[in-house]
Amino acid sequence: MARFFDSRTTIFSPEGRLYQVEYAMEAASQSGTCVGLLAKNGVLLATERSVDKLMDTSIPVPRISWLNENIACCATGNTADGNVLVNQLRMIAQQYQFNFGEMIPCEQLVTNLCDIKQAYTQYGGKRPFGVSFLYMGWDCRFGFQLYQSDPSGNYSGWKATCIGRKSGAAMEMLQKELFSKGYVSPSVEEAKDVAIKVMGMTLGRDSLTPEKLEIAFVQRYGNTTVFHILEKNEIHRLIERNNNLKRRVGS
Amino acid sequence: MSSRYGRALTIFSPDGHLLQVEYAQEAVRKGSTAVGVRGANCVVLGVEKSSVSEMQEDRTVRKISMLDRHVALAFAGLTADARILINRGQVECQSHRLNFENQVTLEYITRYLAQLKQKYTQCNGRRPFGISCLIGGIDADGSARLFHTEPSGIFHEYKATATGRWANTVREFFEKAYSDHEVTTKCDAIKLAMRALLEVTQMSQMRLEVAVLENGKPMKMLDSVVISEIVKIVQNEKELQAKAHKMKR
Repeated sequence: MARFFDSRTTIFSPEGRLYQVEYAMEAASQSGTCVGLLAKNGVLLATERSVDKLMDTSIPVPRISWLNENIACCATGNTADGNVLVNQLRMIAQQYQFNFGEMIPCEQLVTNLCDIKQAYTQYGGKRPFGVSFLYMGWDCRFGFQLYQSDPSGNYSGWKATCIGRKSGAAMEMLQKELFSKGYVSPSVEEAKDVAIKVMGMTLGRDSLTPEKLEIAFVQRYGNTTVFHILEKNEIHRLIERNNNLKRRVGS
Repeated sequence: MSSRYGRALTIFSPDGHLLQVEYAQEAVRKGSTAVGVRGANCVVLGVEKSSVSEMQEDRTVRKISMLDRHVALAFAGLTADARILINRGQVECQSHRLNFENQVTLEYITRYLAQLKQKYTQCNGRRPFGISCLIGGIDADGSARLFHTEPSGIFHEYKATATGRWANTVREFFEKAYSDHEVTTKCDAIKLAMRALLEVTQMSQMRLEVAVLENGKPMKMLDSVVISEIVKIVQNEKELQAKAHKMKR
């Protein structure tokens, strides 16, 4: 029995730190970048995707997944862990809808999932989940929202944020782009441009191709939330526009 | 040696320490400072919010939460752990209302949470909660109460107390500054709590969260504008005092 629980996973170090959790966060911060931007008329997520020539591209494998009518998310880190948690998220959202007959508020969905993540850092002798999430969504109380959650089970709401590889530099860039001259909530169109710019930095300029990018956003039309993944040619157009802008600034 | 015994989940080391619990207390000591002041007819809880980026939504960063209409909880330590404990506390408050048709007493809910924390220091395969809580509120008879719980499951009642990074400095401050006539009114109690926080936080990057509980009223979070006004008043008073001190000399 003791062996069964004999875990080095969920215990404090003498300095009061949880190393396993910190390592899990490291895992999440070393994989694909994901940028989130809150706009005044929507929320946008942009993420990189790995390209493999041998893979059958006719079957789309979206990185940004739809959770319910109002909420979508993007996981970064250990993909297998991510899939498990996305399933959980969908279950939680549906269960809430079944119980209460209305859509789950964004923050509540995030909180519920974070409770699960936290549990894995405290008992059971299992390792924590190695994934960070960005969530975008809409609810009637707070409108459009953007959240981020960690392997530790912490979450927070943001106006603009980034997780994954080079997220530090990306955050600085977001800060410069959006906040240096006082924050004005961007439109979705403007947010797309900022996202491309930031992704261009994290991916390196040459590898900024439509195949390597996935951009999705939610908006409201009338009484429905619309979840939209950008087409390849649309992303191509955005990249072109970004390159042109850069050239102009350069010269 | 210590590393060997610290590795397994909470067990005694040969010299009689529960290392995991002590390490959990270390996590609390790394957390942001939280203070609590019990006034004559109110309780004030205050926390320092560690640097919040302007890109973050302020609404989602909370260190003080309501357990029931008359109970508030402030914490220092691991935020994710705190959320779980707060949830359990909220459920227990409601369950108590359902079972006994009565609100919980402050002592009851503190005892409940402390017991829960103790369980996590002894049960199989779990680590202790890395948080220390200040639980404040008003009992049904109208008396103000303030409790402090630790990761080990110990709890004490206080007139004024602090936990987190600068807990000792703040407690020393309270020892000098706290007296019953200092906290007769609500304003005085708020001011004392803010003064305590200002002892250990830098003005420039200061973000405070302050909650006030009064008899018969729901918990009130002070507005950031109000907070900055009070900070100014406290600062002025401090300067005046310093001047008076010099004059005396």
